[in-house]
Amino acid sequence: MVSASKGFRWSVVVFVAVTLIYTGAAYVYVTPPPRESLFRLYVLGEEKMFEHYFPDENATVKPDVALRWYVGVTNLMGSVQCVAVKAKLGNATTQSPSGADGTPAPVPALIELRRVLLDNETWEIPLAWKVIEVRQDGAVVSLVLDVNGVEVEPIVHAISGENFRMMFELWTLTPGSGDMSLGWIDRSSGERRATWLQVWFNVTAT
Amino acid sequence: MSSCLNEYVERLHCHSSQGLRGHELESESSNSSLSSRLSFRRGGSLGMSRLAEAIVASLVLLSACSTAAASSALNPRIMGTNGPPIDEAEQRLRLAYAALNAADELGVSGAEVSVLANRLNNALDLLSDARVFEKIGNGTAASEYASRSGAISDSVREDAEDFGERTSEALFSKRFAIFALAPVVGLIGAVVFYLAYRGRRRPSMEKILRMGIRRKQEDG
Repeated sequence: MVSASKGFRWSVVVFVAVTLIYTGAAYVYVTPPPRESLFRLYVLGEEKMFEHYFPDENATVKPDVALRWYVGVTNLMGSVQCVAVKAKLGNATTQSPSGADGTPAPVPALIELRRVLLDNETWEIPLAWKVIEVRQDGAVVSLVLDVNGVEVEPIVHAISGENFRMMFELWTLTPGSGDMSLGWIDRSSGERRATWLQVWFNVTAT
Repeated sequence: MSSCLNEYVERLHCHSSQGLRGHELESESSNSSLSSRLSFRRGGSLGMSRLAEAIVASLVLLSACSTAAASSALNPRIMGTNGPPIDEAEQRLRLAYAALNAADELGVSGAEVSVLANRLNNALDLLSDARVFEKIGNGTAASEYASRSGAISDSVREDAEDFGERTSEALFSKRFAIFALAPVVGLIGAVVFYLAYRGRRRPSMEKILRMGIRRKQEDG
């Protein structure tokens, strides 16, 4: 009788212990840990490699020379995301985008492309562009570009046509606010992150 | 606007003829001299009347212009940058995306999310085309593309909400079942332990009893 009572008491202890352990394991199972959320942004040359961005690797662009790049975005956020890639023309003094406070470069976009991306999906955007016209006002050079068949006149100038840069910004649509903004909110830290790229080039009229 | 003006002209004509009848119309022989005579003889009252008519006319014209401006602003045609249909389609697309994102986070199957994402991309493409049409000044096409985009967005939003609701219910049932199993698993563990405990105790009890019987037999 004494042993049965002792066995029962131990059984109650085992019941409580097993219940608690199971509950903990179940909680871990149904609540996956927050993983790092990010995007990958890259620019490839005409052969879809990290090279040959310019003919003969010469970063001095001449008018009517067609350039073909590929801008890629991979969604590693863990859920479907609506993204926009903005291509902008800047010069040496153009303020670069800031990932810390989500401030984009203060120049209008040459082209903006949007897409809804599934988790782990990569979207590669062909970007065909060329300088149609080089306008010179003394030493100040401004451009007229053809970007994916659309003629654009950027507001940016450069002295002697040097140090232009093509910038690519990744924007996302935040579901809660409904606004497109530079970068994204990292779920694990709650902080805003941003990614952007730039390719420097010079322009000559001849 | 033209109808307002016509109405105004009619009213003005009516007022004017009433005014002529109401005032001393001594001679109907010459209409040309009538006004000068009237203005001479009844210069004060008629002058005021014309001033009043001019004010009324100005007010009517002003209100007609403001009505036209207001109707232009509210007209669902593309006006300038991002007219109402495009803005509305954009808003509907954002709502659809929010619903799709929420459904995906809830755990709706990848295949269903993929189908909805493709449809939403179609809506995005149509909206992009609408912007191009707007830029080249084809408001009708822009409006049509924007409304098609909005219709797709609405259907995506509805489907995403349905999928999300269904998945949410299934998820709740699954979680409830998982946590409801906790006491059952605990009970099974306790019973197994108890049986094992008793199973381990029985041979030792039998051994003690046998020893007691042997001692009694030896004593006896």
